[in-house]
Amino acid sequence: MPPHPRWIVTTDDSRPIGQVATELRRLGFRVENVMSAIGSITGQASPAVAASARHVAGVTDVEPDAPIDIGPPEADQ
Amino acid sequence: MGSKKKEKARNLSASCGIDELLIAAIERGDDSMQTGRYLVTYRENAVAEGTKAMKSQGLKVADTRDFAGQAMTVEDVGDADIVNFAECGVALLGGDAAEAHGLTTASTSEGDGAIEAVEPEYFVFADGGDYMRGFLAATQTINRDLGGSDTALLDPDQDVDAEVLGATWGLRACAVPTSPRSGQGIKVAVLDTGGDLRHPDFAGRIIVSQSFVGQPVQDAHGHGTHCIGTACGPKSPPGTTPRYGIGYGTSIYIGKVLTNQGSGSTASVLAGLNWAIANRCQVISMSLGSRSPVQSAYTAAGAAALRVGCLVVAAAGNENRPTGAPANSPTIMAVASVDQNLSKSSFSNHTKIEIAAPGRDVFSSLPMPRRYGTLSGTSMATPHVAGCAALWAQTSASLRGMALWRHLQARARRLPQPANLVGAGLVQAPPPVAITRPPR
Repeated sequence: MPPHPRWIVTTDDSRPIGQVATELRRLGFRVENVMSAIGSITGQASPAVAASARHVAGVTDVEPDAPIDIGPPEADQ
Repeated sequence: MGSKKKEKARNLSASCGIDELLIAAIERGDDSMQTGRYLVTYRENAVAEGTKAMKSQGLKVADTRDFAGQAMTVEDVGDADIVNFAECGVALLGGDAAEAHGLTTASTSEGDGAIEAVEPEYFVFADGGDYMRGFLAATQTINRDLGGSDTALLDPDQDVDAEVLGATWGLRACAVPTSPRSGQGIKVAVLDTGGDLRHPDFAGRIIVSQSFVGQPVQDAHGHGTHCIGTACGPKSPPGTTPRYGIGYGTSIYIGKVLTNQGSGSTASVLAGLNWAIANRCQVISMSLGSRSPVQSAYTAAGAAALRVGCLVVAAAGNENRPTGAPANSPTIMAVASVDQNLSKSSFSNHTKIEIAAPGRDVFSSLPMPRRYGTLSGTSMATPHVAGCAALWAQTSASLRGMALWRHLQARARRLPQPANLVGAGLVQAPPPVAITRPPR
């Protein structure tokens, strides 16, 4: 089975981020990093689990992880 | 490296400042580059179990999660023996506690419950030769703090060949050479492809570094080293090399969030941001981007940064299209590039732009043996803003976060082009201050 995609969960200050992470784990979300300084949680999950994560209290958004780089060729002559 | 010295570490709690650790190392006559503290790696998902085991041994445990917004520095934890960085699965263990509880490397068996490894922590400096310069900086700081005179000590910032040999066009455009500020005391994080930790131009600088991409921090790409050079490079590079660095007195935080191929993902960039904010870096520079529309995670991270007095600046992007993520977030300052004629570079993105800076034909450091090189992009403009932000932040403790953002815009040099291309204008360094002496 291929690995599940990675997601970025954004939380608000309505509850401790650790509680949100615990609830995500309960849903089957494989939590990789709980970043309390910025209110983000990253981890892997099926699209269905990611969709249900949106309804967890304290979660404001769930976005797919996206590639990022130093920009197109002109950035590096 | 790897010296097996057995001298007892003195007063090395987990919360020791770098200066204290350096002094203790001098006192020990220890040239192993070890700080005297240890890094404990917990097994996956075993942070709670490991912490419990530490507490049961009578160790005082502090946790980054106990601090509001996790915005703590190691120095903030008081007399704790061990500091948990739970989000990383790592803890920092004071030398005294490690010895008292038999938790040094040799005594920890491999199959030991929740603990995966206990390793010595090492000082990170740019080069072998700067170890002593780092010591000198530390001893001088401490001597000054104790009320002593520092005249008897060598000044590590004193240049033997301080003759001004010119500066890059970018630094001149930003009025950096005439600025009396160095960014001393300001932490600048550059989240990029890492940095050349052995570059001779950074000898003597204390550098804190962390990788978030599973590769060593050492920059095999060059982009990160170039950006660090502009934001934090030296006042007087050797020989006939022009000055190319702005915040020559800053503390450099290198977060490797892009691989040596120059790529990463939102997850690695956020991990770097989290680290830089937790370390309270007043200025965080990100020369990276994507075509993505606004991402909530970046907006939340930028807001978290501003709340604790950190400012995140990011490259608008190089595709002459609307600014992409993360610079398109309203809580992150988007930087456009201008050419030497001070008009927007053809490649520079537009629409959501806060400020502009030199980004065409920018000369800066590259990993050895290349040493220097010229690159173009909003990636090169961004560290000009980060460097100038550090100089401004040095002028007043009130210039932090949103106040620093607004000040940079207010003091920018106005440009003829509209704000959707160049924002508030060209970033400027703080000008010289007229010193008036009281009459005798």
